[in-house]
Amino acid sequence: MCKDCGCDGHHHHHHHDDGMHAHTGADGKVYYHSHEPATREVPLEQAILAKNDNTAELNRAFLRGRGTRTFNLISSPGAGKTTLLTRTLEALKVAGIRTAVIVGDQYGEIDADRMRSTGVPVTQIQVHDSCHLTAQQISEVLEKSVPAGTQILFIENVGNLVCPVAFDLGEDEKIALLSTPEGEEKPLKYPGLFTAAKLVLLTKIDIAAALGWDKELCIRNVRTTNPQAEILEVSSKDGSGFEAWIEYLKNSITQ
Amino acid sequence: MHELEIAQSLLRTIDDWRDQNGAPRVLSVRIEMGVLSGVDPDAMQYAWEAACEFACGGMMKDCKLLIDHLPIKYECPGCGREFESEKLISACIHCGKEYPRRKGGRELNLKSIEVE
Repeated sequence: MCKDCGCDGHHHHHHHDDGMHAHTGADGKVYYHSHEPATREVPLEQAILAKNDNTAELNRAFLRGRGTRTFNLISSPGAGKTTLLTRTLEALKVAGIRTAVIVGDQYGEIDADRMRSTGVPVTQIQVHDSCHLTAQQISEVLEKSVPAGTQILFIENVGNLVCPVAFDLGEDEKIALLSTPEGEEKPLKYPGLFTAAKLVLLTKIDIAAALGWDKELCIRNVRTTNPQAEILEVSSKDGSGFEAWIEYLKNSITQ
Repeated sequence: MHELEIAQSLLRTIDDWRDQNGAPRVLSVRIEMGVLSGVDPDAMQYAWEAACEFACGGMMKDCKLLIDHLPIKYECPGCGREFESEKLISACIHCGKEYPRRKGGRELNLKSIEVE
């Protein structure tokens, strides 16, 4: 066998510098073939974010073991997540439901401080130059953030309609917030989030009229993207729609 | 914006495989992405090239990223038929019934690698 190219060597052949390999066949003709290294395809079927997903499953197991229902709130920056949560935490306290919050921002403790005024345990994660929370970040604070007996954990994700959706944190469901100043088109423009959300909260409903916001159009766009999503309208400012929102949360923990 | 993180996650997986399999050179990586995965293909290529530049001691430089785009699969509860679409639709393409059931679309998977 030719030690260079492995052919059976029963015919005369020589190797050219250009990698072409010449054989003189039994018929006296010279045959050329290229001499590239053999390659093989190795199947590696797995999710690219498998590592995050595995950590998320560990988070999920921990939270379920605690008996905690977990929501991952995702929206544009400024859609009203923190204001909604602050009012929600107060309402749930009155109803005797124990809650906790983990909030992600690039820098600072501003959101955490606002929500801490309710007396609920709030943990701030600073993601710095990243743009979304990851399962690993949640895992690192989970045990100290969620005291035994916590019935609902709210995770307020970094304000961003795109990236957080790909990163499972271990939640039971994702909630998308869409505020009236953002208009009606976002469900069509950001299908990733709106298809992943179980509930879409339409916030700042108190200024809808002043904006000329088209409720029917917005709801239609949500349904086009995700026919199964529940939709609730709320105003954290004047409390409209809050009863139905709190009812939704109460029902989620009695299942 | 998170394409670089995805590229790095891919590289870690491939590096782990190389460590256990004799560290051959990887010529290409095939991934599949659904329409709703939230990943931009151009950004993904750019991030991949940047991430590969120095990864694995230079052994991943020039490794190509091959992206298979997956359409969204639908099943219509009205006529029972299954079909595919490149974008979100709100009515069955066969019978016109509103809101067919969507299946998949968010895939982001490593399929295979081509090694020497």
